[in-house]
Amino acid sequence: MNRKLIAVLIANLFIAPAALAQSDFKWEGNVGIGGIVTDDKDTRDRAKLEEYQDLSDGAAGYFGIRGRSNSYRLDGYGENIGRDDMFVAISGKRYDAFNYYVYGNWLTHNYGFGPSTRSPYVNPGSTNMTAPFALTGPGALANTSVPPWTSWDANVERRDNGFGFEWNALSPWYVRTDFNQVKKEGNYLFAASNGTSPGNGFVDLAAPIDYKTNNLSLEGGYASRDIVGSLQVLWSKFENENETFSWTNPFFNLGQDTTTQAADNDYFKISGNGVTRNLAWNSQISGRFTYSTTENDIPLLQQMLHTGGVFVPITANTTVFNGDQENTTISLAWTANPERGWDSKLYYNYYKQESSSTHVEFASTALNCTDFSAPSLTKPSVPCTSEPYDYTKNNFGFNLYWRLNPQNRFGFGWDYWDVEREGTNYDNTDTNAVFVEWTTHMIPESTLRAKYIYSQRRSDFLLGNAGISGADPYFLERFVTQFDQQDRNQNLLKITFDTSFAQMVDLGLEFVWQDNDYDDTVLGRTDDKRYGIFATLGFGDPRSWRGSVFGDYEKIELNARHRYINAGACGGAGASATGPNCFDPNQAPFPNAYNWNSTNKDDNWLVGASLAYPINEQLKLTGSILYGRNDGNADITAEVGAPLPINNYDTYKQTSFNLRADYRLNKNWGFSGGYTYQKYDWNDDQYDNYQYLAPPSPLNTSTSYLNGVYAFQNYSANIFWVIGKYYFE
Amino acid sequence: MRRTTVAVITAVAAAAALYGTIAVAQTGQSQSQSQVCAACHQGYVKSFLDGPHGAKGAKGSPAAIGAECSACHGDVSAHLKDPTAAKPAMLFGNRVNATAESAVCLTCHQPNRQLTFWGSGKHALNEVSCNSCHSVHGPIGEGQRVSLKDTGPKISPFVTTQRQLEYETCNSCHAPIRAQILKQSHHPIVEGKVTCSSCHNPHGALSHVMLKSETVNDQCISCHTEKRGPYVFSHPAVQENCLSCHSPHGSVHTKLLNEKVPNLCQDCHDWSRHPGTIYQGNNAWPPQGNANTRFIARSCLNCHNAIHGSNAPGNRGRFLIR
Repeated sequence: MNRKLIAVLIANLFIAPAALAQSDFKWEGNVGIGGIVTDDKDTRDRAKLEEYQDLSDGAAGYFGIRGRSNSYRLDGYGENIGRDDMFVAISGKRYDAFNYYVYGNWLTHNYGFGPSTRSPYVNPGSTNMTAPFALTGPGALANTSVPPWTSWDANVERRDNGFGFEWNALSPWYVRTDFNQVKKEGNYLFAASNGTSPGNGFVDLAAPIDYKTNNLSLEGGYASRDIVGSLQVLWSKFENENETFSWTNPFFNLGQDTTTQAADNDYFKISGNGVTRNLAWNSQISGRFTYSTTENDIPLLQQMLHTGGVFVPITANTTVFNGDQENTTISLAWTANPERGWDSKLYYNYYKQESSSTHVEFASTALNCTDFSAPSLTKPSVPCTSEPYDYTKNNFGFNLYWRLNPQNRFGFGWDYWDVEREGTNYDNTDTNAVFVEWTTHMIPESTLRAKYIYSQRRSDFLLGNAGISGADPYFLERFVTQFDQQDRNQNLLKITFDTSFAQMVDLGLEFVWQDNDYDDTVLGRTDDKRYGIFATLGFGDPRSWRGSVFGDYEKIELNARHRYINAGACGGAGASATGPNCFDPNQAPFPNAYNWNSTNKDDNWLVGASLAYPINEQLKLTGSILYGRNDGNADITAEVGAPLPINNYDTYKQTSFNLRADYRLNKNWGFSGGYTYQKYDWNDDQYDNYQYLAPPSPLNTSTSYLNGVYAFQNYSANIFWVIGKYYFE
Repeated sequence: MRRTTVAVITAVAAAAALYGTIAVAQTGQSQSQSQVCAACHQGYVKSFLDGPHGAKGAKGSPAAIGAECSACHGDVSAHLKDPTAAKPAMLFGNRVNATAESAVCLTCHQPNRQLTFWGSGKHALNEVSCNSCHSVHGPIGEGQRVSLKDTGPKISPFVTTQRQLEYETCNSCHAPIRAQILKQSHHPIVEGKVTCSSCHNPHGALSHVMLKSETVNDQCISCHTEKRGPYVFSHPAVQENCLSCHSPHGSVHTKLLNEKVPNLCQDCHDWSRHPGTIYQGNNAWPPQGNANTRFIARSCLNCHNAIHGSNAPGNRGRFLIR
């Protein structure tokens, strides 16, 4: 267990004596020990089964504690103690004086386990990964015998430990502090291109992960019925022990190539809240401002591995990148109930992001960029430069609700965004949205709510006149739009119905329909649609047996249009174009340049049921079943040829059957146990028939080396668990 | 909350407390209000006394002011005279009167720091009351500090946690979110490692969808600090909004992506050669296809791995491949 957490827990115990000294302080609680056994005999790689949890065979500790008196309160809970998914939380307070908490929340995110996860490198997960064998040909490691490859586990342990303390003895004044540390350690799947062309292949890499983030905040304020004011300061420091790591590049003559990771950063934020209540018209004014800075200093690599295993120098205008980003927000809201039955809200939000980071120019013959915007068919090679991303956003709007009578309430609202940006293809975006809503209780014991939102976004596109002709690669930019910023019309309808039409029965239904139409898109996402139906039925007597059933269905469809351009025939990017207007999607199609369309679809549904039944005062049985399925695929059509569809895009079935028994033997002893059958079947064209080597082919000039992470997700498991607890008071 | 309502409720509670005292005097027995009510409502009274509302040492608590039941339920005099003929003035669980229900709680809890922006939040405006989620009389679930509404036996894949989890209460209204968090790629919400309140403030916030942070990106990088940057070469779509690519509650696609790669990337990037190339069924692994490295496995991310930003020099960083 983390030493810091132990220390804080021990310190916490010293607070308890003051509480214990209270004659009316009563304890109750339990301590227990349990075990789990998982049988997964048909599972090649159980990482998906254990994605966030520790299902390894073994024991675990449990405790729960509650202390109560008229002045003090203490709650403590711990589970899975001694395991990778441990959770411990202790909190307490002295009423009208102070309160505190301390916690530890651990998990391991598992992506792939060896030996299904394996690497051709001798030392995967280190900061200098080497391959033991010589080249056998251009860009190919001799290490193509997969069985001797090195096994590794792709997982990252996340340990989040923290505490907080608030002093409010002088209420309404208070001060508080919160601290937590998050450590992430393990190995994560990275990858890197081998050469200088997509066809040169790639290698999967076991990246070393060793992150630590410390967060400390101080807050002070005044919180009364009518006025609230507070100020908070947050310091957060992220540290990465491995800002770079190196690996043997088979394409570049077995030289050691370098991959960069996130650099250390410092985050500072000051924020303030203010609320004034009980103003005229039964209103209140609320406000919040924040100012934050994110800074780092990154020593820039002075050379990079390149063709022939040669290290090419990087000539940059600086040796250190000083990252500096500022964010400022202001939020104001005025809510009022001017008359009986009326609720209103006016609001304004301001967001500003400003980058003062170093403007870096990298000049390197081998690693230069291309100036596609140059007004010529021949594109010059230029230094690669960093580009800041700044924005200023103003958002305001109102919500207005009117209760016609006790059964009916109507709502209407308008929301407006004005966004100005630097560093993208859209420098200005306006979005208007309106909504109407009706809520009724006219049906006895029921609520029906319908809400419709229409949103229209319009953007100023900066590349509308890009390029000089259809023979110019840059001309294509006139037609390529980014769906997160381009013109869009959105319709969104939500209908919910809840009813308790019979005693001990609750029914909930919800229907959602959303349609995004990306106006006038030539190339890019043209529209996306989604609709879903969600139903829930709850039944039973809360004092004894209870059950529930639910069913969810969602359909999602994303449509897009693109253009295929054969670089060889059309001159490609940066070279003189020889093809007839290849880069104009409005031209008639021909074999080397034509438009194509894709439709990505997901049909997802989920059904579940549960029942909890007390056999008698001592024994309670609970069972549940859950079945989920997604059918994902993509249809493709083209002006030339007949592309084949992608039949499986994350198509999966998941089944979970749980049985649980809780038995209270007597006042001091209780036992819980259960059994789960769980199965997951997954098909995906990108992973079905997976191989660790993607050999040279007409499309790939060099071998690619894969590690097996995410490839073998299917599992079938029987899980048995039991916990015995001793109760005391 | 209307001042008048506050005044009325406070006056009623005070009167009820006074009546309780008078009633005790008249009966000649030294009984508190809760003891009187326990004659019929033993379970409710016990749960009340176990909680902070029953702590006499807490200044202003119903127990401290001697109005254990009437502080929330209003005038109980008629109900005490003839329980079958009259109910207490305030009963909770009324679909129509959410504002009035919340007003009772806010009589005391308005100054709570967590409720700073309750009046401006979506829950208040949409007539969600305190007792929609909280249960003063309900047991405090395993591993919880406050009582949340118990929504019945859990339906989920196997989880090692024994705790009652927040999402079970939130999902009772937010059914579409239930569908998201149970998808194959999800934040560890059902596993109890991330809660709804890790990102959202259910008690009100000035931000859209009541996020605890001002923007989506601020919220995401509060945990994913390695994505904070600043990077030498950034990815504008990442800088703008994480939700352009990710669906935080859950997705059928790995890494919470909204759409499969390469299609997700091609929705913004169209160019000659491989960005605009059709990746289709015959690009899969043999025998189905020819194992096109731009399609198999992680597709674009096989090479463009530094998708959130890169500190590598030259075109290595510009194209996010180192």
